[in-house]
Amino acid sequence: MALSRPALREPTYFILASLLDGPLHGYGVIKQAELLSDGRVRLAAGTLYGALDRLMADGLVEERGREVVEGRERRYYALTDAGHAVLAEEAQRLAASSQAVLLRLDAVRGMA
Amino acid sequence: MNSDLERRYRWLLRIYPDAYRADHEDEIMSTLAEVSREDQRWPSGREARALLAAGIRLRALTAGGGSPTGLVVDGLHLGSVLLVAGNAVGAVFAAYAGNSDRWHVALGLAWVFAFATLVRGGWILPVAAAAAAAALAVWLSYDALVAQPAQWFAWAQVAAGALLPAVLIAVLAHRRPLPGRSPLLLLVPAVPYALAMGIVVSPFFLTSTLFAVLVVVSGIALLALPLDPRPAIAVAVFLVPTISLLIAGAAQNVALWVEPSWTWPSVWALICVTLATSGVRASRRVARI
Repeated sequence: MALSRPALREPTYFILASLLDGPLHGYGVIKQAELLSDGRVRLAAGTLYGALDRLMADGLVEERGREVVEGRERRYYALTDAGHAVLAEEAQRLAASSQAVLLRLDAVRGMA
Repeated sequence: MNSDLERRYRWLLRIYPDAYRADHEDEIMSTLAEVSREDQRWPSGREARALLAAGIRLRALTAGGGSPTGLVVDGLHLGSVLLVAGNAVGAVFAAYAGNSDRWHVALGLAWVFAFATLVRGGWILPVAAAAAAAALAVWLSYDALVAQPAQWFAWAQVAAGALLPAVLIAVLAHRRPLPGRSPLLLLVPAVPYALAMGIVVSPFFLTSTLFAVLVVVSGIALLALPLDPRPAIAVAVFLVPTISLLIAGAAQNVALWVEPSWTWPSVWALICVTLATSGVRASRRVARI
């Protein structure tokens, strides 16, 4: 399958995936990404906001409201249609890659 | 989050561009408060590293307009500013050492003015100032160039030292107005000159100090590649006149700074090409989301 864009970095992939269920604020994205990746991706705040900034610039994520909780500002982020499409494309690419390797592993096991 | 931890995190956040910090500082602090322990007084190493890395990367991307090409262009601009700074500092120190006539002092002032216009940014004034300084350099070398056309090092000095930055600045300004630069860039060429001149006025010591600083600066630029490819590209540009002169010296068997040999130009050319190609490749990685 020809890719229309370079593969996403793993943290970026899980940031997009964490927004599938609806808008989240920064800390919510960190927790959801950790959950989805089975604890493998633990985003630092600097990594998260650097990625969110680029994703917003590329139109894959958009801001969806702000609120102040205990005197501190929270901003909520949501997937755009373009972000949804890129995430789906990346998930398919990863699935296809995994499938190819799994088939080879089965074949090797069969020969043994 | 206690006040000590908040103060230290806010200090780390100064690495971010001002505009970004104005818009996002409270939000990032809010998230940092949520991931911190109640009794925590110092930023965690992981969060501190991530903030510094993201801040440096964001500065590069902001300057480069978010694209790999923009990063390369900004690196070339940074390199041309360093070349002008080198010319200005070299001329000032030559005058200080009493090695200049009044025309060469004027040339030094022209480069200093060109550097000042580049610090300010824009396009008409920097292009005109760099072109005027380069034209003066050609005029001052004209007699030597005409009388001894085989003197490659004179040609190399004028072409790579004076014309290269002027042409680069003109080409880059044609693309878009040049951004302003920090006046502290003057320190890159000034520090080795000041070190060498402060201890002893010796061409050998100046050369070895310059080379040592160039090695350190090249190393820092390579280390910064994963976050910011612009220093690597800038240092590669900055090395071009040095390499040209060393090649000219080796080709004509003339001792320019060092004993004539093909070893030095080969080593520096290799470093230059490594920096340039690594910088261009890294610009694609840095711009990737």
